[in-house]
Amino acid sequence: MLENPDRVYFEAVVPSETGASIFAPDASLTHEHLDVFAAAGGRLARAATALQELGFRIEHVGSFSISGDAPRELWERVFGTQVESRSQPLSAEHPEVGAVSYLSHVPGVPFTIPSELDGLVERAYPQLPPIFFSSPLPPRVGYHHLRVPADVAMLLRAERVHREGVTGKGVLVAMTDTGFYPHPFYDWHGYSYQATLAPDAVKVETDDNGHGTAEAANIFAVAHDIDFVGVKMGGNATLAFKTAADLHPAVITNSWGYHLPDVAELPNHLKPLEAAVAEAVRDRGITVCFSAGNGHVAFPGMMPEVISVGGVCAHDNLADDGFFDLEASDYASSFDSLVYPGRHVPDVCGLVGMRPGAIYIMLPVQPGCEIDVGLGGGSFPDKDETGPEDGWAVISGTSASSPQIAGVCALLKQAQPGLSPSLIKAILRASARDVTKGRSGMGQDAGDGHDGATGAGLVDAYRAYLLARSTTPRSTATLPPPN
Amino acid sequence: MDAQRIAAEVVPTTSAHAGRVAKALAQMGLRVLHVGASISVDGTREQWEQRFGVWFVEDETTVQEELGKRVSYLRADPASVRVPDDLESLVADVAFVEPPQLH
Repeated sequence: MLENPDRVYFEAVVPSETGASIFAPDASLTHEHLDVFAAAGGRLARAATALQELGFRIEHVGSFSISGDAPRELWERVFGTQVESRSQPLSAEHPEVGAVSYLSHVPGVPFTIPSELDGLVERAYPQLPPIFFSSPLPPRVGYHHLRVPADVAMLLRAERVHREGVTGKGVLVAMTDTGFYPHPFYDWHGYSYQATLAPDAVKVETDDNGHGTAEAANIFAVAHDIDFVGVKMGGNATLAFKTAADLHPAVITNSWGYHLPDVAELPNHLKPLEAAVAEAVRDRGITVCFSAGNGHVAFPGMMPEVISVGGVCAHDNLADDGFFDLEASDYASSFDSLVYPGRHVPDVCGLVGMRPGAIYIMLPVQPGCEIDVGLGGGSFPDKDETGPEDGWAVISGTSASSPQIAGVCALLKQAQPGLSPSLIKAILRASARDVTKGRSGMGQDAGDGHDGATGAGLVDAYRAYLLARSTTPRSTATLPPPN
Repeated sequence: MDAQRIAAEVVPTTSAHAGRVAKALAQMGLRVLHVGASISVDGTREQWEQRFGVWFVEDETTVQEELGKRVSYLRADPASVRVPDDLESLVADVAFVEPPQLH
């Protein structure tokens, strides 16, 4: 990106030794002919020196041209020309990301090579800023973190399920969140990643916050062949959920909720959401995952009908059992619901980092969005050490674990399309990996067996698959005897 | 959503009344967005105040703790809601929507 909009950033082309010019109409800059256009070493050095003596800052001397920059006034005076300020979007496809200003030659205004540069500079051009594309590859950061898809798939043991040919193919998974920016990460991986709007939302291709774009990558890490639809939320979260349910997906995942501490009766304003979730599970057979919260007493994460997903952190060392060292995340919620007596949250866990900020999983976001800017540009553990506009952020929370487990649900639905939401939950709980260490964000301890902090433990996709593939959902009605 | 519009879920007394209630809400000038077990609508503060007598107070809530992100919204006083006479037998509840927290 251009650093200073008041300077001219230029490339000055030095005449070649052979007299051939790269600007000639018949110039052919193929690798066989490239040497023909190269400037003589001595001439390059003399040109760079002459430019420097005139006051230009030289940044690089190459085989064909010299890179440098200069204040506007110097450029205009030396070359007897004029430049003007212009602006262009950083991304042609997504102008909402922002714009960059730069100085450009004014068309039709003369441009003269001064005598000091005669024979040393053939032509010189102000350089335009490039259009930035967010990279499909994440940046490298210097602390323990997980990457998608590989690390998340391995730790949840989804890779072994994939090798059985079960990848989520033919299973529709919906997610309600802040938006779903078309990050190149999704396209490069060949994921089926669609977005739509809740009726009160706008701008289907933007995600100014970045939350939905990021968390969706967790689903694909576990079930890369699903058909995914993200429902961008407007002002009414209930409406977004209902919009998702109307698509009749096999699974809906939701990384949000309402904090209801010390509340024994569900507030009236949340009852329509409760009804919509219950209807989706009971009447439509949709498996609904909700995050348990990050220290929140989260609703609808506490509803008995949903799979409530908490957090476990996998450290980068191995434990005595040969698996990664697992610890209950002190960032994730666990609690007993007062609204639904007997209901403990969470049921099971996905992967979540530790306090202070659960900076743990490298995920794609819309470049320059609130999360990108908010976490970028500083040092771990307060910031994520990625750029503030690079389209990547390291985050987690139970916002990450719910879509991970939704991905596991999708694998089970491919293996056994007839599994009910309650049977899927039972299978996940029965097959989870016990987590015996650590304490949740609410101070509940992990321990042997089912515990307060992690419920049944960290989901194990392969063990769940082994149970699911042999389960036969049966009718409880008495069938008439055969004739 | 337009920040000036206030969203609510209107719950009919039975699902059989949903269509009738939705039509009446639309005739009041509210925007009907979805009809299901409850009816998703939104409208301006003035529309809600005039039609349902509801009072709003300006409030603020944290929606994303890791970023310290807070949003302002108009919180309805549920005790002030008065369902219009012609809908009273058809509407069980009017639930105003509040911003969720991102986890």
